[in-house]
Amino acid sequence: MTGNNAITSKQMMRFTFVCQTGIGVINLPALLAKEVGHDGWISVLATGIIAIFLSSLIVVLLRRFSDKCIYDITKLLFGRVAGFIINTLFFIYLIFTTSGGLMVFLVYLKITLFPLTPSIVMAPLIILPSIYMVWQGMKTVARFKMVTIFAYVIVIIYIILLVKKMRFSFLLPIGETGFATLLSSIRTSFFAFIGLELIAIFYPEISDKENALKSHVCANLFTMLFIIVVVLACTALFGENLLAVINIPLFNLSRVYHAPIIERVDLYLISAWFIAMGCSIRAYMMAAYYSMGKIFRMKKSFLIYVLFISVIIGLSLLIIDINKAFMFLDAINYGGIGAVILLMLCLILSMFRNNGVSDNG
Amino acid sequence: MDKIKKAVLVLTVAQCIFLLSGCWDQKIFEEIGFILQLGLELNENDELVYSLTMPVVNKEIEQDIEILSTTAPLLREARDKIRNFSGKRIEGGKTQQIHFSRELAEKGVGDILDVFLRSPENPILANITVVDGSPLEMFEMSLEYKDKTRVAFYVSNLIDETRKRTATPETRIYDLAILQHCKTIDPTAIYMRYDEKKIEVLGTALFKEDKMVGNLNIVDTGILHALMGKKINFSYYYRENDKDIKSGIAFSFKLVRRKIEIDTSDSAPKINISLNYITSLDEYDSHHRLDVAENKEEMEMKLSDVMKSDCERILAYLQEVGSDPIGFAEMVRSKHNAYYKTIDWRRIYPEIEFNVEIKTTIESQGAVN
Amino acid sequence: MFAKAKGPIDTQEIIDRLTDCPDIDKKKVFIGGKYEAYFIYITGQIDKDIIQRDFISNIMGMELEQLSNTINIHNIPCCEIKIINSADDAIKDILSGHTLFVADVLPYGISYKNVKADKRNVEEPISEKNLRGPHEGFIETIDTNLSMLRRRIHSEKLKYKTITIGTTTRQTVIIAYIEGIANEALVNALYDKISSIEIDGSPTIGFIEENIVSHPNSIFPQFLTTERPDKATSALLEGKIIVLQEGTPVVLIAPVTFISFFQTVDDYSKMWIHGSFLRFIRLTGALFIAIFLPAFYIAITSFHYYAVPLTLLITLAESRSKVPFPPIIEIFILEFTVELIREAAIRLPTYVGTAITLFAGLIVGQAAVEAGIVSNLVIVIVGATAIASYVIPSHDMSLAIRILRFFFIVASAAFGMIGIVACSGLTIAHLIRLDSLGQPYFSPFSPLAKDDLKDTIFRLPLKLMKQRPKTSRPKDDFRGENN
Repeated sequence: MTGNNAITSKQMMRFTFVCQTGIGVINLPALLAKEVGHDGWISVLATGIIAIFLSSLIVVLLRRFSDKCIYDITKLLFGRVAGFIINTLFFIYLIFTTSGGLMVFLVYLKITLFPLTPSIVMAPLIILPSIYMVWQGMKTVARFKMVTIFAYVIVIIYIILLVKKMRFSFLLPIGETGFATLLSSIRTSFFAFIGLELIAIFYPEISDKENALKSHVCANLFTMLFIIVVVLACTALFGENLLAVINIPLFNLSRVYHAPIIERVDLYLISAWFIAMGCSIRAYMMAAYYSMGKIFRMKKSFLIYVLFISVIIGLSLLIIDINKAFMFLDAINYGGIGAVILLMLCLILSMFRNNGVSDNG
Repeated sequence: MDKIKKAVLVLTVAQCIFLLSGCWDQKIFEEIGFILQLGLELNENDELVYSLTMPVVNKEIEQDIEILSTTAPLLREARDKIRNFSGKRIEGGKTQQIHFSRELAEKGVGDILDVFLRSPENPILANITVVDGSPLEMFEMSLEYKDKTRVAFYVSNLIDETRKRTATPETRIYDLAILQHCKTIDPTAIYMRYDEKKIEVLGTALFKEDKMVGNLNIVDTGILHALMGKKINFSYYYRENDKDIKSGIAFSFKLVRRKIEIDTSDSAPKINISLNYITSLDEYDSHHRLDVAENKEEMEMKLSDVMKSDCERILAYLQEVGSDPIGFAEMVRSKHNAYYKTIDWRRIYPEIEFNVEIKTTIESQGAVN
Repeated sequence: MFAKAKGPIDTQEIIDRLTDCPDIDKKKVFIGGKYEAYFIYITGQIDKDIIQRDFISNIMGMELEQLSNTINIHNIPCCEIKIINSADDAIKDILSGHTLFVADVLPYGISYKNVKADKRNVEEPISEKNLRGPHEGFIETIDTNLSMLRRRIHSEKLKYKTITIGTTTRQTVIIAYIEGIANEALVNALYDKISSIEIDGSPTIGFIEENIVSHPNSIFPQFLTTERPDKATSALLEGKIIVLQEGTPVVLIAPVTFISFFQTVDDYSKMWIHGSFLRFIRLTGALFIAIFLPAFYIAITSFHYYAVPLTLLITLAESRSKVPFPPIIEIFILEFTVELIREAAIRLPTYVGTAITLFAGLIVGQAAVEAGIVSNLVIVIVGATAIASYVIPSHDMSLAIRILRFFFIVASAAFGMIGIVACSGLTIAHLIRLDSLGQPYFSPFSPLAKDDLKDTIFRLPLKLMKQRPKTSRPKDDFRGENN
């Protein structure tokens, strides 16, 4: 399909990857250290496998209804009224996630670089590139993700530089926490994989749908690998006790390296990672804006767009405290789990009801 | 499309208007007083004395560093007090070293370092040193050093150079924080002293959790690094006969391979350490002829013996003061976890039996025989 | 005696329309001694000798019956003889430098093209010099330009499509492309776009450019301009389209990508390692230094003091302590001064120009530091930035970078590092969104075209570049004899 929103499945893969890892990975090692000590990576591994499985099921669902997005599917399966209500709830979840992401970004900015600048000044600045790109459509948003990959490369190179300082005995003995605790920590780790449901919204726009399954599984695989590497690095460097009290492990990781002339590299690493975080927020914003057009059948209008932006910024400014922000994010993540459950429900229902199912399933 | 561009432009201009109204977080470079060194100690009333050195950048002022000091229980409080009379905005982002006095180190340093971890602007890359005496006095004495650069650069270069020769450990704030929290390895720090002419590095300060309990000299520091399994580059002086003017052989130890085996079958664990050194000859006297093969082997055996007794002495000292920088607790915890959970490491540590085996190979002898 | 033939061409109308044009001369002759006829031509544009010898004498040697037979007209031993059937065509031809022969007794006019106008010599363009390539450049006359291209591409597939634009000037604009390589949809799109331009005249190519570009409000140029035929030739071989306009030596190349503005002929005329080295320096050095360096300096000295290396700390603080202004004002003063010097240097005559630049350099450099207006690190930074922005081969892109730099400076002064990050995000987003004749501008970086990456930051060996770049959507993907 051509048009402002047409993307390939590779672009969708990058989109999902950046969306999942942008914000989740910053805080995850500390949360896992609190729950399972040094076995966080096992938890991520298990969750990753579950996420890969779930994501392939999602694509199978979408394939059954080829060319339809989730909003059409719910309408077909649950009827028009119930479908509309479910779609609206989904849309609200997307808006809240965007605001939540922006909120967390502002909190991080306050802690690391700009403690005194008021959030209301920072928020429009951060969201400025997103405003520009979301208006242009999915094509521009997806192309930008390509540029973001270099932030990930920088983080990986940095971690390699730090290998000398890591103590791998901090990761032993493997499995000390025990099976039950690991199982309960899967919920925490799953928060990092939220973002896999976005393909359900953009599926009609993908031009080469036969590769969609492979790319979506790949996206989750890369997310899992990247998060495992970061969790391993943080745990091996800081040890589980210190890691449990650190607020922002990824940024603290950047403060540890003593570079030859410039001494401190945290400024550059944090700036590079801010691009990835911004991309993560933009992914949800794009999803929300696109959904608004699809659910409420609105045309592209400048006024509605301004309203949309103001709502997002307004919501993000409501909470400033970091702990409350994380609680908000937790609540949203439950919404994400709900979205995934909804998709699974749709898949099961579609096995029984056959309206709208195409022969390609 | 045009409208959205206009909106973006308007937003950007609005942001710039905020520029005119004042930037909240701006810290203009020349208005800042950089703390390059921090000194912490206790005075007679057991209050925390906080001193710092700042470079002076105005060429008209003769003295090239500024020393400011005050007393306050919290670091932030002390810094704010100093800001009341310093004339410049004091910022700690470039701190190079933190000096603790020995007394304060013996009382514990962990809590004091909290502000460094908490504020992201503060560097957690600053070196930690323990000074035998008072850091404030050291700063003031350093003003008299006519032939040295500003004291912060002097100490910084000194530490870098001695580190390269493995005469002191590399301990920065984050190292201390990590080790303090993990509770299975004890941190170490640089140990220094000063007088009217110079500042001298003495070796390592040994800690038990976050309190200082002992110290090792320069050569012992090198051996400690070998035991820790880190890279070494230290010089060892072998002496048989102290009577001659020039006696002894200087070896430089470059490479070590360490193997540690822990045997937890008895009530107290037995730890077998074997170290494989590769060394080269730097300077020697005429009593030995090392180009002959048997002499060389004999020398290697003698060197290994001397090394072994040194290692055993150091390990005994570590057990005596209760410090475990080599991390045996960590090894036991990670490899023999079930056993580790049944014992109280701090109680068992003095009773551990160490068996040290050393093998030394003399690799090169330099340009003459 | 023959009656006056009522043809579609009216001599009196032509003469009336050409009143008050003293540069257009009319030579009155009599056919067969009886019938009035005129030779009309522009005095300054014809080659009098040839016209007199070949055209006028031959026509005068023919009788009226012979002249009424078109076969005889075509047999006249002159190249480019045309039969004219309307007054408009006649006037168009006269104004293009043709010599026209009209008579009331003839139903048509005869036009002969032999233009000898003053034109510049073919010499190397001043703004696009190079070391190892040809030193020829386009000139203002479009015929010479077309022949230069034809001389380089000895293929019948090189096609030219002609358009006349300008309601008053009626200039010729030619679209050149190679059939079988260039994408016809793009050619037709460009043809339609240019044909629909409504202006009364286009003195420079910029008028056309601004009318056909899809994003006229963007600071980045979307068409590449060049005065070199070798650059035009390589563009044609890649499937790109050239637009030539009569009256200007500058031609447009479309579609182009962001990287095209940083490529020069020298990259390809040298061995690939040397070419890659030059390209690398140009891209990373010029681009990053020219855009980021002043903004970086402001961000660090205003917000992030801890990022300064330790050894530089004292010297920087010492030099800054003498300066009364905050870093942003310093940078603005110096940048403004440098821009003024740049503008002045274009307008000064050359012998004064070198002296002034030296003088200005001295003033800005030494005296300002001594007076305590600026610090010496800022001089170095602004100087490096100015030099870096001159490294960019394309003048349009260089201007774009200069403007962009100011945005970055303002952003970093307001918000430090995050301002720079947000601004770069916005810039890259804009570049991704831009298109040149419908093709994505920031290709091959995004959307990723792996094969085209071989010619961006490095110039990999020609052996590896057998495929034409995708951006011009060529019909024939492979160079060489694969047709």
